[in-house]
Amino acid sequence: MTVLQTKNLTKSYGGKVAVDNVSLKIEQGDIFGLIGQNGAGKTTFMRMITSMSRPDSGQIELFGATTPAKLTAARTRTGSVIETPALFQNLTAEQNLEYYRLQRGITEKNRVQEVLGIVQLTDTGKKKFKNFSLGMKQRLGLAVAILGHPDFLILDEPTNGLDPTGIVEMRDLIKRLSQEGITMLISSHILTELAQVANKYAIIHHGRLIKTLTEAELHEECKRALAITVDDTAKAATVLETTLNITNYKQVSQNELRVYTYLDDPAEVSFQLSQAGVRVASIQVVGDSLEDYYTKMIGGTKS
Amino acid sequence: MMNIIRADFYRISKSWVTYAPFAALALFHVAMMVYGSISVTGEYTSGTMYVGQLLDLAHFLFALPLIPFVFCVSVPSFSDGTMKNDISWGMSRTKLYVSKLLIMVILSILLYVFYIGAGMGVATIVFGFGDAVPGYWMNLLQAMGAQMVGVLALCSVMIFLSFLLKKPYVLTEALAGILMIPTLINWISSLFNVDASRVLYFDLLSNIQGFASFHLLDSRTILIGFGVIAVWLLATSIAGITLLRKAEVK
Repeated sequence: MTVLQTKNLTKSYGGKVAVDNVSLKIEQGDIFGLIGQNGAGKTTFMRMITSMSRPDSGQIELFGATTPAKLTAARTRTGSVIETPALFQNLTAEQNLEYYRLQRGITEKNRVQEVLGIVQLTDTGKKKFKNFSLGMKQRLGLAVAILGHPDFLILDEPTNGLDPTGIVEMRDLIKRLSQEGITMLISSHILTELAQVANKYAIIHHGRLIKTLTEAELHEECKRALAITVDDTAKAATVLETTLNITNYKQVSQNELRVYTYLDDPAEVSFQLSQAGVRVASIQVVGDSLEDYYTKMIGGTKS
Repeated sequence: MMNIIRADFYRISKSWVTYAPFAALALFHVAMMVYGSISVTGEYTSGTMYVGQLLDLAHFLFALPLIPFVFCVSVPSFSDGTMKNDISWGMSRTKLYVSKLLIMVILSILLYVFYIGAGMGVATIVFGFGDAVPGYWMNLLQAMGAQMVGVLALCSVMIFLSFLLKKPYVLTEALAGILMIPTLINWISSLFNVDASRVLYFDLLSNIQGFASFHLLDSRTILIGFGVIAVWLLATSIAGITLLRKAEVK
């Protein structure tokens, strides 16, 4: 079942395109990581999904709803924390949650305590939101988002500004929620962070969606291999199999093969191919760390 | 919408600012009693006379303490940024606006009843009830009812300004500013020696003030008064809803 589908979603601010024709699809159960640098358009995209901002053009389909009225109703099945968590500064954690429980017509009176337990904020007592640490604020923001048992969670940079302990806590929390079957859209500018929770990824850069891939595809992309560019891949494949006994390889394009063994001896592979009359244009070890891969995708250099 | 109103009443019940206007008016009444008691001329001599004064000055004395209510009801949506939680969760923007307006109206009516009721109570205790001319209660209820209709429009103006200006300090200045409009018009008219009564016809607060003697007004004045109030109420409500519907929520 498709939870969210956008078609050519576009938004500009003052003539500058923030989100440019973004089309993506999120299926039920996906933990969808939206990765991009700061200013890439992640937040703007999420703001449009959550109706905080209106798209200039394009279509949003949420739980099958496309008309404004039905979209508004469909959004009651979502929970979100966009940018920083915003809650009433002078209320305590419990009071803030009670406010949203009443506002959203949640009849389970013990839900507030239950959610406080989930985000580990049961011991905050009379401490007001304005006196919370950033990590506590993030967790309370998430508590409001999950208060109404949402089917779809939208989290914008949930680990932003957190210290290492806070990051681990937030990650564990997201993992626990994902185990409950909640579909999620999570943005981050750190792929390695997302990789620990997401199972699908979309890379957004300068407002454009440049790549969508599954967890398996990402691992495949990042797997270390010998990338061999040859003039005749069929002949090269025969040489690999018969001469070098290599079966762990694949053809990735018309002229390129990827070999997942012999990583420490590319010269031998090159030699055998040449001996068999295969012209080797290039041979190199490829394979990225997640960060390298992401950097390569957005056409930048790793800092 | 009832859920939104219920939740907002829960929230504002936790803030001392909600109670401040009631406390301020209570203190004001007590202070006026002390002032009245020590006054040589005895400015207030009865509960009915004091209430008459309160009705006459409601356009300022009562309107001024409404400002803190705006800061309880709608300002946190911007200052604390909580509006994004409401909108992103699928709350209709129109519903959100109307619910804030209704909460403001309910609080204001409660305050108005307190303003008159407490004033009458305290003054009656201190000076006695006084002479009630035949039809006094009917006249009083008519004046209160008419002023409360004006208060609806005043609430609408205040909520509209809060959604328009958003920043608390700018809003404070604007709200204080609108309370000064009748005084300002009178001052300018006397400065240039011109008749400003026609201008005051269109001023909301002047109409609220005028309704203090509702039973003495002719039907044309009443009609114009309610007409002006209706225009303010509708214009600011429609403008506010339109503004919110088109706004980028921060």
